[in-house]
Order: sequence, then structure tokens, then C-alpha cells
Amino acid sequence: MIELLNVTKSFYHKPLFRDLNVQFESGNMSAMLGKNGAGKSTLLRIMAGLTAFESGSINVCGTPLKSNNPLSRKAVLYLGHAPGLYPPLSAVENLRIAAMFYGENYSDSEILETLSQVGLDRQPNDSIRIYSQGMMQRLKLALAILIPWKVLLFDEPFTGLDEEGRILTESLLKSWQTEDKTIILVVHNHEWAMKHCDHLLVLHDKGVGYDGKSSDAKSENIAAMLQGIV
Amino acid sequence: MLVNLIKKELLIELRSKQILVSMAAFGLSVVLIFAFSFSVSQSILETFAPGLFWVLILFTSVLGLHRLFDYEKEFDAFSLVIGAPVDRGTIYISKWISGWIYLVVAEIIIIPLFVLFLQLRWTQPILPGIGILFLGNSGIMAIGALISGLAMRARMSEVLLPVLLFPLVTPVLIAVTKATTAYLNAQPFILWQFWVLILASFTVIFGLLGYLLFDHVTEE
Repeated sequence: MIELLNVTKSFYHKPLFRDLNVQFESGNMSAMLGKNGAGKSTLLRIMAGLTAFESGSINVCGTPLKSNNPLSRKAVLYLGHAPGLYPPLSAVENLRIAAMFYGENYSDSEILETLSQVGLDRQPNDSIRIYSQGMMQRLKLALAILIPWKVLLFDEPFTGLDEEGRILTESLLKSWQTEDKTIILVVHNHEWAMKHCDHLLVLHDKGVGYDGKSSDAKSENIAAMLQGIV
Repeated sequence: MLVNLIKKELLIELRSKQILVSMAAFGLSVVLIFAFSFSVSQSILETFAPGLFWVLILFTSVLGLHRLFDYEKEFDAFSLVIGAPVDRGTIYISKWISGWIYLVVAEIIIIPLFVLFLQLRWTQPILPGIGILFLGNSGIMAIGALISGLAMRARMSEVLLPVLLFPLVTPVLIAVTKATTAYLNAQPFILWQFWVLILASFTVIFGLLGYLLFDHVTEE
């Protein structure tokens, strides 16, 4: 579970959002929606402990998120818009290093098995510099399989993926949804979010436009907010 | 975790070979420029040699320091390490130590060529010289790793790094040059221990500052 209490963030003295109070429950898959520049990715980075915020507090599984407390980040896995991995290294090396940061040690065969699970077993020892965007997304999925997270923050999980990759991502997300984990996605397709996610958060006009169950949300209202009509 | 972080740094360098190659190539070309451009007497050259050497090392270290954080931002890899449950002060220490290792490797190539091409006489016992190198490198890298981390997110980080680093590293450079001069002139240690103490103090102070402040340095 991740809880935001009165979180405020500004850029160059211009508020991005003010006094944000949101709760993302365990066992729920949440979608964060909003127009470009609404602060979705920034909010995700704030929850990952990467970006500082002016005021308020964030609790991750009951622990206050603090930059000087590494354990407060133990439960969180952030998969950003960028690959977030080391370009000179191979997929195997990147995964081994990333898992090591979370205190996990995997053998090459375990890593190769995970890579094969996400369809990346053909070039496991090549530098990831040659990877396409879709392959990078698959590599992020491999990371999410290996690291024992409780809160997954995934920024645009479907970017650059082919149909097979999209199906794979959806099936992994669904399998994690059944476990007692918190998944927060930044997505642009509100219809997909309403269909697959339990909870919707729409960032709108420097605050929350909608925060609640996706089953209770009205598609036309969400669309109006995203198009800036409301 | 510190050992693992250093291993990661060295593995990346082993794969990319960007830091060491650029540092060694730069150091070598500056040594050649020194060798062919100075037409002064040997005694004058020997007087200026410690200063020339440490300025060369400082400039060489800037190349390494810039790359030390540059690859972290290439694919936003830094978000992986600072988002992980890793003490951010330890990340600074790993950068400091790996930067120190790169500088030592570059010096192993640069020093013999510097002595050879400038026809310097080095008759002193080697151990105190290694001690001065150890402290000089540690001081430069303690300040450099902190400033490089600070400049990393800036748009013109390659310009900002030397602009911020050089004024801060000046006391270290003065102290290490004075200590090197005294050592090469075979002065008794008691006459130059003050400079060694200054060097050690700066290294410890900036090392601690880096460890404590890196939390804030890494946050966006």
C-alpha cells in the first residue's frame, strides 16, 4: 500500500499539484491518467523516492518514504519511461546488478530463464545499447519478475511493444494483480485503464480530477477531463 | 553493498573502456606537449615539475569525473540505483573509490612518461612518493565525485564540473604540490608534514561531506 498525504510539488515556483491525498491499496492495480504535463510521471518519481517534494508525506507499506532511509524504498520498484539500465552492459549483467541492489543474487541460468520468459533469450550477452524500445520494455518486465517488490510503479508499460509484448505485459500485470501487491501504472488509454484496472487517479487542474474505483467512473467524464473540456 | 557497487563501476568501465582510454590518451598528449614546448634549463623544469604534474593530474581527473556520472544519465540508469534500497552515501563512496582506481591506473601510464620525456631525476625512496600520490588522488577524487554528482543533472555538466571543481580543489592542489616538491628535494618530513596534514584533512572533510550530502545531491 502507498499513501500520499498533502503532497505538494512545484516546478520553478509554479505548482504542479497541491495537497494531494491519495491512497493506493494492496492487491489493486491503479492507473494514473492526465493530460501531458499534469504531473503523472513526476508523481511516480516522487513515490519512488527519486524526486523531492515540497510538503506532505508518503507512506510505503506503513514506512515513511525518506531519502536517507534506504529501507523505505525496499518494497518499491520503479520502471520509468527511460530504460533505467546501463547501456554498456548486457541484459544478463544489468539484471544481475539490478537484483543485487535489492539484495537478491541470481545465477546466470535463473536470469536466462527469466529472459526467455519475456522473449529476450536470443541476445542475452549483447550490450543493451542495441535493443529496440520494445526490447527494453521486455527487459523491464524481466526486472519486475526478478525483484521482490510490493509496490510497482510503471510509467507507460506498453510503449514500443508489439502485439505479443502487449499480451505478455497484460498477462504479467494480471498475475501480479492477483497477488497482494500494489501496481500503479501511468497510461494514456483511459478505456484500457477502466477495463483492466481496479482504481483510477486522474490528475487534473493541479489536483485530483477523479480518484476512485474504475467501475464507478464514467468514461465520458474521464475523457472530458483528459481532453481538457472540463 | 559498497564492494558490489565498485564491482559495477569497474564492470561498466571494462565493457565501455571510455574513462581509462580518454584519461590515458589525454595525459599522454599533455606530457608530449610539455616535453616539446618547454625550452628551459633542467633546474627550472625540475622546480616546476611537481606543479605541472599535479595540474596535469587534475585535468586528467576531470575527464574521468565527468564520465563517472555521465553513463548514469544516458539511459536514466541512475534512477535504478538511487531508487533501490541502497544507502546513497555508499553510492558516493563507490564513485570516489572507483574514480581513485581510474586515476591510479592512468598515473601508472602517465608518470613514467612524464619522468622520461621531461628528463627528470627521481632519486628519492619510492614509498613516500606513493603516499603523496595516494593522498593527492584521494583529495581530488573526494571533492570531484561530490561535484560531479552535483553537476550531473545540469544541462552543461561538462562546463559546470571544472568551474565548480577547480576553486574547491585548489587547497588540495597547493598542498600536494608543496609536499611533492619537498619530497623530491629530499627535505625532512617534519618540514612538510603540515601539507600532508592539510591534504589528509581536506580528504576526510570532503569525504564525510560527500557521504552525508549525497542524499540531497541525488534528488531531483
